[in-house]
Amino acid sequence: MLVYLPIAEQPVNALVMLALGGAVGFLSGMFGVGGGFLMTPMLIFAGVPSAVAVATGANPLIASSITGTIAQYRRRNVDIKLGLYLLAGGAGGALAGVQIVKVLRQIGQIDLAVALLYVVFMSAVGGMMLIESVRALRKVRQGQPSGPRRAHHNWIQGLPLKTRFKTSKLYISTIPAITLGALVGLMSGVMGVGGGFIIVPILIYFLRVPTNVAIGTSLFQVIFVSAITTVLQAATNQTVDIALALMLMAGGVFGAQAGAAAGQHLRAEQLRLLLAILVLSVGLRLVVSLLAPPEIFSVTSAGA
Amino acid sequence: MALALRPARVIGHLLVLLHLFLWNGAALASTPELIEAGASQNHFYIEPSYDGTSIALFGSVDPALLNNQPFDVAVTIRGPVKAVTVWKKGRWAGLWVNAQSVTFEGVPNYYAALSTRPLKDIAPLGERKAHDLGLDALRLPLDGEGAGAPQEFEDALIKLKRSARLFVEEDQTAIVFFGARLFRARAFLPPAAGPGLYRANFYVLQNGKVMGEATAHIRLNKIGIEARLSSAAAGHPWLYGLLAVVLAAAAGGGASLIFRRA
Repeated sequence: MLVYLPIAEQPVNALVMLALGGAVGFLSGMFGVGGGFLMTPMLIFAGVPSAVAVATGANPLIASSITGTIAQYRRRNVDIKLGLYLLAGGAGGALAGVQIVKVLRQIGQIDLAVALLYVVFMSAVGGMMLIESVRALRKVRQGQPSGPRRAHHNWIQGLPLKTRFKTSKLYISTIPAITLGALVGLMSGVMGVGGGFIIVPILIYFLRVPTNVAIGTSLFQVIFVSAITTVLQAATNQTVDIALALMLMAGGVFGAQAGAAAGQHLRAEQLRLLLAILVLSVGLRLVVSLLAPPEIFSVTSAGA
Repeated sequence: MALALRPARVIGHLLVLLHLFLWNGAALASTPELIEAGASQNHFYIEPSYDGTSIALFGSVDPALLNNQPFDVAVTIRGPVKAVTVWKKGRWAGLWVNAQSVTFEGVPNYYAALSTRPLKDIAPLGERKAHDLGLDALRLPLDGEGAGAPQEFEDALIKLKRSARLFVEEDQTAIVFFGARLFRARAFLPPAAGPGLYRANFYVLQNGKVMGEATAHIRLNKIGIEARLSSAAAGHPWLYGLLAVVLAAAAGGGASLIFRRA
């Protein structure tokens, strides 16, 4: 069933978009990440112009992260104070990110920048999670307690401006939280993602936030970062396609529920291993397109 | 709504038009017009199910004014004109990145050249260039900085447009004569051709020269929800962005309510 997108000015197959939204929602429900890091590249693979894919990618994340946050909040997994510090940085980062997209598009390097950012972050995060989850699975097999190791001290513990985060059971500096928020906001603006796939591992491995709280808090801040990104993309680039977003959301809300149910049948380490493999394979696909492009020439037009 | 996608409607339109043309034929003979042009439908609409549309154009030629000698007919259709930048990738630190670019001032987003025979057999390149008749004769002016740019950029532009079916040349079945004077030219506007004004130029050629020409116009517009959304996105970008957020928030909140009960 073809539906003509008013902003992208081309038809897409509605069933494909529902399925794509559903698949991303399934993963986000299963792994507790927003899924934007999969949504935007998948939209581009499906033939949606990259300007529309980046701008629209964040929009359905608002819906799936609200659903996720409500579910996590009921389980007391959302550290609202930590989330607000992340957001303080995130708003500024998103603002800068959207402006950067504008400049990159003018100099013709938007596709390169987005692809490079994805490759760098995906291989870093994917690689880290792969190593950690394989180690954890081995330990489980040897009968040792699992879960990421908790060091007593690292350099982050030495930073000033310390404050207490009750839900996370932490007493740490606010500087890394704001910086991390700004970094994720910047990525959200440039890449059209909520940043959960970056923020969750950093909260777990560097700030020592408990895994469940990291997932819940990340979902909480993704709501606002993707809302800010959507409004700014609409205002600056005018490439948010509501019709496309609605199709993705319709699939996404059902996929998220199914994913959450499926996730309960898998061990946490197995989930992290699967997510790592997924992240790495999307990254690999992007590397291939940078090393061996199918076409040397490309065309852009200066608006209607 | 009268839409081109309904075959019965289209056939109805064509029959009405045929009648009109045959009727007018007698009256037209008294005027010195060598060629006349019209479209079966001047307005096309983009609604959610839009997947491109075929357009039918009609023309009539007066063979008496061509001394009843053999002649050819060609029709060009060109869509919304935009400035287009062609990028060429180059190797940079082992990666393929956009390295060089050339900007063309006015490129029709859609261009079709329809003819009764291969264009190169109908008229020499010089004559065709004066009328943008054929992909090899289409003038694509460069912007100020692009002067002296290598031909490969123009070739790449034409190749990419052809593979997207946005640049078309057709000399087999696109033009069909009904009798000696009346003919129909048919083309397909792919969905990527996009909304805007399309101009159709009709040419009658004899002995390698353009003997007469006529013009018809077609307009393709978004309608209903498609029109409202795109004008909101362009006209009220902040409100449009807020609407996108509110819709998503409602979808997310609604879904949690539904699944909590279940």
